Amino acid sequence: MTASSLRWGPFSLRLRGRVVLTNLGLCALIILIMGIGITTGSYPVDVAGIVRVLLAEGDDVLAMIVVDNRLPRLLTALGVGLAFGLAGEMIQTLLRNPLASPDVIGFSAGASVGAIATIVLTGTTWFILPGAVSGGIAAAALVLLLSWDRGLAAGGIVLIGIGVGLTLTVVSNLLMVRIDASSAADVAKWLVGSLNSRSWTDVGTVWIGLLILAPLAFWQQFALGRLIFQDDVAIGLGVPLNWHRITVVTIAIGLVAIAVAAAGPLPFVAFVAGPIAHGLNGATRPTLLSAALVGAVVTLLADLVARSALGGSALPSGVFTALVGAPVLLWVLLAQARKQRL
Amino acid sequence: MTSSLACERLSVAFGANQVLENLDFAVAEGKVTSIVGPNACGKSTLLRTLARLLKPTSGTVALNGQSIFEQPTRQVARQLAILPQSRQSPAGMRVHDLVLRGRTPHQSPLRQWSENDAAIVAQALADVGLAQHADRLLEELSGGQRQRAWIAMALAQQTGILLLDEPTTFLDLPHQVEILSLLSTLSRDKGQTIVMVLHDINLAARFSDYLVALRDRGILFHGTPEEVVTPQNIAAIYDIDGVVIADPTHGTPHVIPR
Repeated sequence: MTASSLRWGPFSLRLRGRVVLTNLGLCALIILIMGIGITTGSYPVDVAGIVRVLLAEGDDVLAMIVVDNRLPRLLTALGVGLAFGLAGEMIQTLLRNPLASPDVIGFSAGASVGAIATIVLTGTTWFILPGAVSGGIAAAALVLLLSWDRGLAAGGIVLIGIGVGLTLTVVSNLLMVRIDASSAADVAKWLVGSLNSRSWTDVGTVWIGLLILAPLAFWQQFALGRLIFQDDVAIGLGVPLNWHRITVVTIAIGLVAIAVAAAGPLPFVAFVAGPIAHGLNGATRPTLLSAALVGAVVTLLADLVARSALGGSALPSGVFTALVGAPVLLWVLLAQARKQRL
Repeated sequence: MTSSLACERLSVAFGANQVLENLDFAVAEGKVTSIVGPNACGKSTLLRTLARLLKPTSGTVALNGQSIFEQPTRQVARQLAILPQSRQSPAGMRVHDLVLRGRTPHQSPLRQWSENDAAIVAQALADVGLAQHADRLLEELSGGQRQRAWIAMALAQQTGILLLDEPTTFLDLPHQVEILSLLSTLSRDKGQTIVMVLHDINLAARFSDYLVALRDRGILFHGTPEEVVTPQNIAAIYDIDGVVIADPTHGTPHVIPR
């Protein structure tokens, strides 16, 4: 267990060797998956072809496939995965419960309902982001309000959040009935989440959002590292609890909203990112960077599988993130049950 | 680095249940004070209120002459550290991580590991005798070692005042003595002001400079162990009939219930 010190002027940080190695490994994995994603498919493109396109020397078909089709899809997947990973780790740390991730406790479902509602109400897709943001805030407010019992009880939040999430999923389905068949296929992405035919607008939504929210999230990591203690300990260390709780929840809702607006809820990405990251880096919560990178790996992998293995079936990526997430959910539940029995 | 801590006309209630009423009490600087009394007499409530974890219904707690509830919590944390009674060690946390968390009120997101932090953490680990165990997981430690790790965290906070809520609970006798010796040494050698809640009146009498005995929502006795621990006082505090002898090795008063 080695750690090194990073000191530069007034800036100082302690880095654990295993965390740094994990993050580097995850980055390499992301580059590898994205490399496979951009070169393979129904029209394989070799590396030389990619380079030609990036130098604006390729032919039009090649440029269309790489620039209009594969690149936005991969960049959306990357951004959405990072955003979900960050949001999941933040909420799980804040509530001190690995089950309490924004997709399990209804935040993502709220953002989906908000996104779909704007399409139903306005008939356009222009207001999806504000819709997702307000839906996420409304769902979070509802969950927190219902589970408030002289303070936040993490156990209560999980149960109430699951209930609210299920209810909102039904609302999403009901809203679909109000949509005519032609746009229903488009809107279906907000039911499970899909990375099919992403555009540069989606890339813009998620990456501009990340550019604003990710630095704020990393700024909160210091306080989150103290909120892992019980309230009395955290207050004793001089951490203003309520201020950080409100800030962290707000940032996490923002991250969920941009991700949902770009690609739909993609169940379980936010949920699995943290537990997998900590299994790899062996560190105490929170390690936001590791969780974000795991979120990206899971999302990119789900996209790769959705495109290739069952090629032509065109199943949305959300189905495959759920496929990874469900066993992890069971594992966490079993681990918690075992801990309670001890 | 000394700070003064006092409560004035302090009353605390949980709903209709009045726990403390009109308490006046100034903590002796650089000394060890133990709060004793029967179960449910408000010992922990008093300590938690002194540490700004509970808000009084009336009266106030003054830290350096100013209400503790009106000072920024971070500023308070540079002068007063509190070890609450119930603490869970977060899974996967190592001793060094825990002690470093004690530096929180002196740090910022950009400045998380200065050379000063490193030196103070190393000193705190040495003070509690855990320098060899810095890289071990908290869950691997014995109860006494884990308690010392938490105390090291509070020491790394570098406050003049250290409050501890039942620091010896769940520890066997040798570990109780070990922790209390450590605390009294810290007070004697470094002038650390210590206020703690203790259940065992005999250990409190042996390791404290002053005792505060609570009963019926107020302070019944406040003084040195010799002043507080007398047969009459013990009867008034605990409703038991006992004799008090001088501890044969340390000379401090020792209660033997009849």
